[in-house]
Amino acid sequence: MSDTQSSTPLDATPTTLNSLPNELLIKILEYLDDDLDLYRQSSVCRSLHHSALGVLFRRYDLEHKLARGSLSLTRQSPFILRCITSALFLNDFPKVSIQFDLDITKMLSELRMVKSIVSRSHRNEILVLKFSKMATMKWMASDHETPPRDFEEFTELLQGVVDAALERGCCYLMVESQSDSGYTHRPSTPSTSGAGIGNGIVAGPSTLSQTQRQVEGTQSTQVPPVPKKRRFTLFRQLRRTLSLKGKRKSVLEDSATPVSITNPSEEEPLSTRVQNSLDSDSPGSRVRRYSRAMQTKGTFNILAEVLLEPTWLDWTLPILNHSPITTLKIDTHHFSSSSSWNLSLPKIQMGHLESFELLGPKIDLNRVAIFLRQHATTLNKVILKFDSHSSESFIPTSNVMDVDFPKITYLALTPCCTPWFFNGATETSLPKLWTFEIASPTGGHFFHQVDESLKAISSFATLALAANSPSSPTDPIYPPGIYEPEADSEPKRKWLGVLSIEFMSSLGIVSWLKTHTKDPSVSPLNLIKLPTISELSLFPTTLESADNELFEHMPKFLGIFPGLQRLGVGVREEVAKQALELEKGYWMGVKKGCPLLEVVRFLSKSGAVGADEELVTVLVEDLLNGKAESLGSGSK
Amino acid sequence: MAAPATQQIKIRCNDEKEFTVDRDVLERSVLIKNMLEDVTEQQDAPIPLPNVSGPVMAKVLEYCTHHRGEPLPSADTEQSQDETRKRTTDISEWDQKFITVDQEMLFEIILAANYLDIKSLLDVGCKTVANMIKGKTPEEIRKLFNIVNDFTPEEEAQIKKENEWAEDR
Repeated sequence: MSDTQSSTPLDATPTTLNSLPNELLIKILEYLDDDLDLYRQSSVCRSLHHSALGVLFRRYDLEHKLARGSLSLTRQSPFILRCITSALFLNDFPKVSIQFDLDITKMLSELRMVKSIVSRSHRNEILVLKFSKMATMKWMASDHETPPRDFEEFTELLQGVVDAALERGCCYLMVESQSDSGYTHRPSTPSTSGAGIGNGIVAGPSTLSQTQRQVEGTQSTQVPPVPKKRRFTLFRQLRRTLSLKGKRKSVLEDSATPVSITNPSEEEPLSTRVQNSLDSDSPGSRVRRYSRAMQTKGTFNILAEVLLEPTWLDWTLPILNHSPITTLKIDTHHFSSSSSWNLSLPKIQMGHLESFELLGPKIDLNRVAIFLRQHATTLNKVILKFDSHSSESFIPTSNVMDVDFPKITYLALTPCCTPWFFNGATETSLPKLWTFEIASPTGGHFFHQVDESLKAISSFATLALAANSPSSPTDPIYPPGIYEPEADSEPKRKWLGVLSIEFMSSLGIVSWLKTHTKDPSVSPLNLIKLPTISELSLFPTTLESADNELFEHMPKFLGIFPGLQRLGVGVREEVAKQALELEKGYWMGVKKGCPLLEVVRFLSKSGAVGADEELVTVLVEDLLNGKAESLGSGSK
Repeated sequence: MAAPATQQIKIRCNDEKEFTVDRDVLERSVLIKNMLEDVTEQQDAPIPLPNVSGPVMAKVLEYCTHHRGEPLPSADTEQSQDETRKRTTDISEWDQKFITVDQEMLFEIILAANYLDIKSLLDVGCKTVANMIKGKTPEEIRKLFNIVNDFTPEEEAQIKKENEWAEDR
């Protein structure tokens, strides 16, 4: 406690408030229990600024939160927002991710502050804005003929925040409404908090909301919760999420070690130091690493993915149409109503949209068609995974293929929407299509519909190939060994090289194969030939005992792919072993149907291409020579 | 108990001013208390206190004499007392009268109390300053404590803007 650096009375200068050592200044400031008094101190002079903010930071445990690289604030914290704006003003936090919690009563002014914070920080990589559901429901209430004025201001501000964040390299931006319970410090279940982001690239929301719960917990002890109004009782367990995040998945997933960023001015322990020690699996470090990787390449763009829910579509529209977002994902599973968002869909006009993914029920295909046509020139990847029942009562009046999609290379469609999608297609409709995935919808067996899908693709393929006409089906459509569309210099041959069929289960594959091998004469597959396919994958999303029957029915089926070079099958490990022990004759038979077949891959897990673990890769040549066994065990 | 109470201790301030004080009065200063405990033999040489001047020490001794015999806050209870004290800026009547001094003396007392480790006096001083600060605008505080505004004009403008929010609540 002894302090020797204090001034001696013999000094010429009189002792003033400023001549007190910092620890005493802080001690004095700690007696100011009104945040406003403390905040005012921060604007008296520099030393008081630092000390007062330091006290405020500690009072709300902000230093700790900043040190974790994530800042979460509840609606009781307007002064914290202010003190952070001040802190950011004098001390730059280059690597702070901010997580705000806003409430309608102060929403506009707080959003203004958020904007100020974001636009003042040199870099903002992660921004999470959480809104009270109560607040937005009020705006969304259907009895508003025209949106209230403050709503317009809100959307404008929000867009400003988003713009500012994007400008500063933000690659993880999430705008989310929280259910009312979340606002009263009642922890929500991790499963619901994670539901907004379904594709597993960033395991963020659960982590973030966990952090936030913690924070809410600590803050609730300091600030009594404001009694909530019960006027809006229509809260459902909807997650409304607008999430913009990095696109290059491989980089995102490559995070192995935590990133630690320390501000050089460590001697300022209170507000200036931002030490970032995020967990390696937290979204922050991933996104941070991602953005760094992108920047070192000198090609940092905002490549964003957006998850939407219906009532928020309206106010996110300006953002969508304005921002350089390239990836849009809409999951309708938790949508409360279908009408509003379906109506909004054609209003989306995103100039940079490259990847579009639409999942779930309650989808109006006609409006989807309009949407797709509007983005025909930029789209290169389209994933439509509709639940089959969504289109049952649907009469298509609008064709997707009324226009050409010159850039699409990847298509994933559930069988129920494939015929619709290809309706009206011409040979120029999808000149660059490389990968086609017959995707499994999220519920029910659908193997009977795979036929329809294959038929639709096949007839389209025939049509398109007529324009590109290879001399014979056995001609290699692609140079052997080249599987990447970009690797080929001859664009004409880059067409529909990969087919992936995803089944709900291995039982589904087997039953489907059976129906075609039992009575080949009536099988519609007899009419189907897909000579361009060089790579085929069969993925059951769940593995069952039925997969050991898989190979029994395989050769016949493979006959429809005379250009096949690589075959991938999702099976259990023992089934893969069994397959390796099959007689040479079996593989001869396979080779007869697919003379170009080179490689067979067995994948331990089901799921999307590339996401699974490879059990064994064997060369067909070895299978024919009976050498496959040693190779198989070697690679395991 | 009677013997140590009457023991007289000499102290010398940085301006050569010397005081001879009852040991129990001086022991309100944890610094001096520890010093005295370290020295086993009786010493006639005065304890040097290089950070405190005579006039300030006189004030401090006035406080210590008035509060002699009161239990010292132990290190264990410090934390919990901190919590309760933080909320209350009440100062007892005598202390309030005692601390009604000019600003320079007030800060000197705070510094001395900090140096001598007299917790209760330090608290009184800090509370007094906090009370002076309360409810005042930054400009009033600058005036009150003669603080130079060392922000740049841009910073100043920014601060003004922020204060609009702060005052509007």
